[in-house]
Amino acid sequence: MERKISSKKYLIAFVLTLLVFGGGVILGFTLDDVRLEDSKQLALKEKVNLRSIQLQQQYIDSGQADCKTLNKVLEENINQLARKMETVQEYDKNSVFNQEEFDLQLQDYFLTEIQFLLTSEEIDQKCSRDSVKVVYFYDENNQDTQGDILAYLKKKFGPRLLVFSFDSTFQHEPMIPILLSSHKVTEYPSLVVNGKTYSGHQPVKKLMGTICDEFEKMDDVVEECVAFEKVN
Amino acid sequence: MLVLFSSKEEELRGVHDKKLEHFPMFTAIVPAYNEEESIRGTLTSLAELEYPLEKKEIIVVNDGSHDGTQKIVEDFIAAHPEQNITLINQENSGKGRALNVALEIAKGEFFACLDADSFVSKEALQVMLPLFYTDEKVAAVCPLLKVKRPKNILQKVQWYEYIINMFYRSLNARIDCVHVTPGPFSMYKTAIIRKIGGYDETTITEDLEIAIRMQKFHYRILQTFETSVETVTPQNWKALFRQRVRWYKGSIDNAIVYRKLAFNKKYGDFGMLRMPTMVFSGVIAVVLAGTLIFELFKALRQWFSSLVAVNFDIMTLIKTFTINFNILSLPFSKMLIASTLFCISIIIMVMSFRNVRERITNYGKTWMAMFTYIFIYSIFMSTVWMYIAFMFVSRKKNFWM
Repeated sequence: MERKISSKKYLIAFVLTLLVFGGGVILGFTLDDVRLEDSKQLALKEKVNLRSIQLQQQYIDSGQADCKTLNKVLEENINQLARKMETVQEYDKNSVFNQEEFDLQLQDYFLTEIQFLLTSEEIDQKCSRDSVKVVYFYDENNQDTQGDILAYLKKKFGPRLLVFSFDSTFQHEPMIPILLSSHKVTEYPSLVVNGKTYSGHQPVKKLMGTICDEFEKMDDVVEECVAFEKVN
Repeated sequence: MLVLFSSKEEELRGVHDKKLEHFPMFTAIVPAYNEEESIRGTLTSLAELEYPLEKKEIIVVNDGSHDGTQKIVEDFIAAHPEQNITLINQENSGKGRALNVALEIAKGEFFACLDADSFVSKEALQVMLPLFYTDEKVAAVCPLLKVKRPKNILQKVQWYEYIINMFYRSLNARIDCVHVTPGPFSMYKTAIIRKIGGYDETTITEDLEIAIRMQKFHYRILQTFETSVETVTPQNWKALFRQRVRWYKGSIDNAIVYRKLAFNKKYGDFGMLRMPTMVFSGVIAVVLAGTLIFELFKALRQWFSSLVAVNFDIMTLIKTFTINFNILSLPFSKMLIASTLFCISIIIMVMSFRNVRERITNYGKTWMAMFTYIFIYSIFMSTVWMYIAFMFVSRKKNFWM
């Protein structure tokens, strides 16, 4: 007995399924372009701000630029840059069609971050140190909670704690290995706190103590450190 | 869904307007194992079937019950001497064996099995029997199956599930793809069932196995919604878990036994569509369940590690909590696909309720039941499939609920 096969229905169902999932793919493709454009705009803003700070820094000696204001602007921009980088890294992870372009964007961001780091060190030489700088080297493929600890401490200390994060596995930018070498970093995660390298995972208590010591060296009384010392 | 828009399926509508022109002999078989709570109601519903008494017989097979089932049946027989009821007591041998024992003595040209926790509507025979005469290849007719008056949220969830499943059954029936003739009052042409060898006594899902066998021999199984059977469903998660493990493991076991039907053009849509989906749905369920559980576990572990890393200083995290919302970061393509599938699910749900002429708010507990059905039931079913995968891997023995 010959039984019916509803081939026409199977074909229509297949086409409809393709349309549904294809719609998602096309939307993803379109959004990738929008995200790329967005990250370019964000990068442009940061570069413009960086140039402005670099130029203002030239006028510190002549007294026409104010250290306190400049430090505040620098801190704001570095914090903003960190947030924007997180956004771009997320775009990069989810991108399917524009992976190369996003990698270029990330490379650009890392370079901008390095320039901010160098600029902040130059400003520290001309002005009294106003914040604690932590350079954080991590391995993207290694699940670690160091980033969570830094994010937590950032919430505690606010804009006075500046964190510069670098993915040590990011192959596209030669400056990262140079940074690693200059700070003698061999394992991940590693932290460089105001120039001093700490290898391996740093627990929250120890890191908080390190950061508080740095604030103390700046003769700065920070509320969180006072509370921390009371408890410990 | 595409099946809905085909025209051929209207043919059954005219049949339901016809009355039975003659009354063939009919046998109702009630296999019972420890059913003292519900068997009286089951027998009452059979006794009240609108059908000439002399053309109807009821065979109860007491499958080694050790509660009051036997006594209740004997009392019922004594109280209803006008009904033609036979009680067979046997050692516990399983439902398949019980049905075959009854089939050996059944006089009916047609028979139906009614589980002892189910209750049939009076007009069932008047509605279902004419369908056998639409085509000589019709071997079975199934009624609308509903959950009997859901008492708690879990039963209400199953009430939703049965209604939606009935919709899928109606679609499958339209393309001769019915793969199970449920225990509650599926009706069969006795000669055909005897011809194909009766029930399989080794399987844990004899209703599914016999349906696939009927399909294998190119018989047709029809589905009607003009008469209903109500069945009692598990009241707690543990009982439901055992029931579903039996059902789905049974479907996989039988899909493997009848694997030659899969992708076999000889069996039409049943071979090309239904049989493969029986296996793939299980595989997809296990993969999805595994992925969901793994991702949940990963997320929980990460979240917990983060809290440990900051010495559980939740107060600081709460005080400094900010929402950094970037609309471009949303996974729009996944959201589009998910929302499309969700809309299709809503359409299916609406059509399912229309199909059986029920309202979603019947029996109360609507919101809690919907929430449970959408968010918790799927996780529960995932654990059922994971357990079935474990049974396969560990070669654990099948069990009967």
